[in-house]
Amino acid sequence: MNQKEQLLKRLQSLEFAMVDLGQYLDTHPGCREALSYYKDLKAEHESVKGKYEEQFGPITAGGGGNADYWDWIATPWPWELAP
Amino acid sequence: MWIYEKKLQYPVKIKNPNPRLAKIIISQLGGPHGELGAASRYLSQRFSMPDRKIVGILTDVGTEELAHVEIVSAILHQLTKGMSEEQVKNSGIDTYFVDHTAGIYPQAASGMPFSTSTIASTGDVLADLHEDLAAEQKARVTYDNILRLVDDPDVKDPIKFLRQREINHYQRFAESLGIAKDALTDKKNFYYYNPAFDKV
Repeated sequence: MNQKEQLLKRLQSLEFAMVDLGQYLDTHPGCREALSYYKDLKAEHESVKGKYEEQFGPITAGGGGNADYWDWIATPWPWELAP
Repeated sequence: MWIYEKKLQYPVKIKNPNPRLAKIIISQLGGPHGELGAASRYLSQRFSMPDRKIVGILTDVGTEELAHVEIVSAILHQLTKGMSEEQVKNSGIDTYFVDHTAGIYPQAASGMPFSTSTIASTGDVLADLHEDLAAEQKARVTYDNILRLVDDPDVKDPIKFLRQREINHYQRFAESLGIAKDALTDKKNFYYYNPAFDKV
């Protein structure tokens, strides 16, 4: 697994944890343990997302901040297999 | 509103095109228990829910279902990309190919186009939540049946992920049903009135 795949996998793992925990919090909004865990996940997610976008292009439109080209349409779409 | 993220919720990397599997798996895109119906169901129902927690779970599960629409579509795309004319003729996908080539069109495995006639949004709290619990189980059954018919581990892996999510969502909807029942004034008779419409 190359660095891009590793970072993406970490990002997917963190986001999955946030999706699942967020749904748990919808029905358990006063659970302090879950709230604190969510906060930690969110902080790491932001940091990993920033790192990924800087090196490999946007996850959300505008991410990565290339001043010369709109990278949003230049990097592969998620269903494309690497050649 | 929604913001797109340029990644799949769960990776899909299928090495071998196999249109026969696409012909089956397409039911989880546009079939009676599919992901497009799931997203439409939850994102529509939430407007009449009186409890903020239940609006939250329907919003978040409905949003996740949109990511599942994309995962199933990615599976279908990779299974049909680069298929040969021979594969089109022999895999049984010819009846789909004639109208859609290798494009993605939401329909059931039987060929029936996607229809909201397979979902319910009744405006009644208990009826909708029971619909949601049943929907998650029906989707789980279809994923179980897909797993019985698929042998490629590259395809099974994301299907197993999607199957597991049905179980988690079922759990959250069961909690939501409990929350809705606890809020009813006459707890001895849950079905006496619709808290989303009737004034008690």
